[in-house]
Amino acid sequence: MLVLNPSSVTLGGVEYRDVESVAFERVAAKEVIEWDEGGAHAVFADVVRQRVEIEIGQRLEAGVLDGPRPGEMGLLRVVTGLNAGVQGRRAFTATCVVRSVRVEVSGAGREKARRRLRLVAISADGSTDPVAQTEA
Amino acid sequence: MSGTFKGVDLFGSGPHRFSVGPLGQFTVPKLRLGIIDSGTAWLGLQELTVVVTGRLIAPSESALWARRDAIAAQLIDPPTRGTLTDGRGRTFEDMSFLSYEESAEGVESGRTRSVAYVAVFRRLKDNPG
Repeated sequence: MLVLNPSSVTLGGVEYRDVESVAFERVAAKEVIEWDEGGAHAVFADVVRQRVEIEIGQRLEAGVLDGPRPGEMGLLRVVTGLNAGVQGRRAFTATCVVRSVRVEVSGAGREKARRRLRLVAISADGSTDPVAQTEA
Repeated sequence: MSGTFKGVDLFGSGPHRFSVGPLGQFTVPKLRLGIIDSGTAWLGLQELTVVVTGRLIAPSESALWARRDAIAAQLIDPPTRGTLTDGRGRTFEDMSFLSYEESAEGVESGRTRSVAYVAVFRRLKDNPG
């Protein structure tokens, strides 16, 4: 799932401006694949561990002296933009832990600076989807 | 095709494989028998052992427990002999169900509930039951 130009992004109560994209990715962390004696092909597969990884891409217009640090946990709230579609604005919330904060600078000029925050979403009980979606 | 023991389909909920062995002489160093000698004593052919490795699969926790309970119900004291079939035409007569052990990974929860196991059957020389 990809949210482009969200109208609002907050993490741990802090608002992040100039966010260009928020990507929600679902990745298998552990797969079970089994074969039996019938032949060469797998007869059973399941994903028994998975992660919801979130990447926030933010355009930086000025230098930043502080920000989230790996290991910090907070509630992420992303509200889609006004042009998100006919279904209206949606809000995505997830309790997240920061995995990395990277800054990329390409070319000359501050408009080329980007910050990428990588988060992992946390489920309250292991079975509930960590990302909740509501009308904004 | 799934294997059966005493006509009961214990392992058919998921993939499983049969293996046989070890076969051959059961040997021990003579020293262990109190014989001062470096040689090996043979005590006769080993009992036939059949090992079933597989994964029980169920749509829910309760359904998985039902399959585990069905297996546990076949582990009795003393063990009694029964016919083990591998579902592919091979039949092992007079087998006793000795043990069932689940993977240390425990129950895996994804689209299904599943657990890997190893079950051991042996043709005991002495029939306790």
